[in-house]
Amino acid sequence: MNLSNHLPIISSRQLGLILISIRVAVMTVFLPTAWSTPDPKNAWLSAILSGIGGMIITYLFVVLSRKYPDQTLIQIFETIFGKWLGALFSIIYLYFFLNIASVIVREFAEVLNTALMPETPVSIFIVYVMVAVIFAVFRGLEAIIRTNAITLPISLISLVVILCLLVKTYHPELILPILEDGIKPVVRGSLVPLSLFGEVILLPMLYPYVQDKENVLRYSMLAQIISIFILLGLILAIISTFGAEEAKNLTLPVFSLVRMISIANFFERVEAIMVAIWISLLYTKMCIYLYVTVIGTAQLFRLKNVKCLIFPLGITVLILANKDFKNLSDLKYYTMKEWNPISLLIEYIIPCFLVVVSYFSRRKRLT
Amino acid sequence: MKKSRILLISFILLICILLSGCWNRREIESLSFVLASGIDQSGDQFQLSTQVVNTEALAKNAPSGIHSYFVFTSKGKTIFDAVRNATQSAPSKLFWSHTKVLVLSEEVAQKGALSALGFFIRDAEERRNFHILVTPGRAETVINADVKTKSLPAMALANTLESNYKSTSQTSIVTLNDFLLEIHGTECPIVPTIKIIKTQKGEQEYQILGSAVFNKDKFISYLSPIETRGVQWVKGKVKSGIIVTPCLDAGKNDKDGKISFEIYQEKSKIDIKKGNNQISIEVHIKERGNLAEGACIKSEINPNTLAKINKLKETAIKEEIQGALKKAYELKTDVFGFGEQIHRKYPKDWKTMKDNWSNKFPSIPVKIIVDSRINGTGLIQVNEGGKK
Repeated sequence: MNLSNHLPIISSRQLGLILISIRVAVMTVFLPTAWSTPDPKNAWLSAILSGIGGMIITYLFVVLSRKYPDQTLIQIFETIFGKWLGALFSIIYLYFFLNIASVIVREFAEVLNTALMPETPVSIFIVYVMVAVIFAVFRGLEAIIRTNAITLPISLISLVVILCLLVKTYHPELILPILEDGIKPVVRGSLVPLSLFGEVILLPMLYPYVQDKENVLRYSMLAQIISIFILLGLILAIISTFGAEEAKNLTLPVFSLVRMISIANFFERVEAIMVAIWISLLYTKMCIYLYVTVIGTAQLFRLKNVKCLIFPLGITVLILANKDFKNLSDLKYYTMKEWNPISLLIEYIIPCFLVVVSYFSRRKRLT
Repeated sequence: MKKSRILLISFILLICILLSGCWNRREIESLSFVLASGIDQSGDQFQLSTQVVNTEALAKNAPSGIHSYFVFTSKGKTIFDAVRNATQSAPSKLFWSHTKVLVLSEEVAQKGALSALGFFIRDAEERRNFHILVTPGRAETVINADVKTKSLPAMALANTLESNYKSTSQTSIVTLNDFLLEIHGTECPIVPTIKIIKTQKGEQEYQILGSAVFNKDKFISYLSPIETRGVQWVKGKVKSGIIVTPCLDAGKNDKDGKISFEIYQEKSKIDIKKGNNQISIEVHIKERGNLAEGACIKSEINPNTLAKINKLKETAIKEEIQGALKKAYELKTDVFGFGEQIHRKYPKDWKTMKDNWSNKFPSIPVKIIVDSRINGTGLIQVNEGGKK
């Protein structure tokens, strides 16, 4: 199939769509900000703040990729740091991708389990979805990305419709007062969504396959802005429906929100739509992360045959997803607390360092 | 190629076997849909009464005469315990997604409603938009009441509550979500009260009468219907209703008859003012309505008299609000949500008041400003009596 024979070709618009989809996926499940800030009333300010941070890092990644247009992040490491140090960095990043894939798989399973089928064992969901994910990765990048181009607009439109249907339940005064405890809790609250927006780290992994490279900056920024707006919309809707204190207690805020829909006593119980959104978004995210891990590993070890890696890595994800977490609150604690500093290091600090180093290394070459 | 095709086919077949069975399969026939439930205290246990639809009776060609619902009663140490114990008498597991009303007995509410509501908040089958009511007696009797109704009693109860609220505004409508929203702040929720009364024929009937005040999740006292509307004026939640005032130019005695006004629209705005380090509250009420009944008005209705009549209405509204304020001061419960308003406008001052709010709030001056207008006088312009 595609993987080994020729390089996949995607457009920058498709890249933008996948960047939206990987971020919205987690928002619709956990809604990162409301839970992580000590001042949930101002979570929407944290969202804006972290969104700006996300835009900066998006720009940096595009700058980095422009310098090495034919190389993925893994290959860039090798170019900049040399063989051994580069390999060390590459392994860290590949494990990071693999870890995200397993977290998302587990998230998918836990969410379906909590919301719909509480008596079904989680591992059943994991096995089923991994079969589908491995199949998609066998099909290659183009297949994943085109599927996303179909499912993402549907999900986004449904989300917007859901938010509109709830207009009656909003109490906008609940978000006041603004900045009650000053700016500090807002900054603290922006750390978790910052690591979510930092998942734009996929951009340098997929950049070599983009055909119209000149548009990448435009579409990835657009994707960033759309993600910020969706996060803002969800936060404002949830806080103005449940109140800040109660929003903090909800395990699955957006799901609880959808359950509030009741129009004229007959249009209600639409949470099936929500589940459909979850499945499509999380599925895309699992696929793309497994795919990135697979090609990254192949590039690290200079393997010709990429396909042989899909199955073992897929099984690794399956095992990690099964073993790493005990339940949903464990998973939530992990993604919101433990994972956060590591991801900030990997998504922000190292790439910034990388950009600086690449800037100087080119100068050296020129002189 | 052939080998892989065989593999694929056997794989698909394998998936078929696995897909056909699911753990949480629930056939619609085997569900007991709970429409209403009541929670009572029974010793140190909860007693749960649930009204379950008899789906057979709702079918089009159902045999007449069969009951449209069943009531199951069970006891348990917690609510969920009681829910599962219900299967001691119910033929299948209770299914909660379609619950319309939840009735708490005064006893349970006094001990703290949250311990009873915890299950409904956490369980994924529940929705947060069913009505909560409080009954002075046993919740069991409300659920069991055999009222005359076209549909199911639970539906009738929900409809009665809604229509009572929409046409008199002398009660309140509180869903589980509203309740949780209010108890997280300093606002004290008011929850509608329900009683079962007996008619002359000996039939049972629902009666929605005013509301019950909570402090956090604990029941404090009842508000009369008029006091309840006093609160609703301030909250801007008056939908419609009738205001009765003494007649124009009436003397002290009641002989001269009464006037009634119909409320069409109401809006309120709570203004927090701060001067000399003292916080004061201004409540602006904007009301529009009709003169609906006024057989006793002797003079011709012209702008001049209308202004006078309007004045009557304004004072009546003011009195209702003041009545509610007085009661709230007595109970030391901020049913109006003034605290949250101050919190929103002056967060810094709020921090100093927050902890002692229920004692402090009666000392804060409240000014009520009513702007009411009579939009129409109905079909009669000049009263017969006026021509004498």
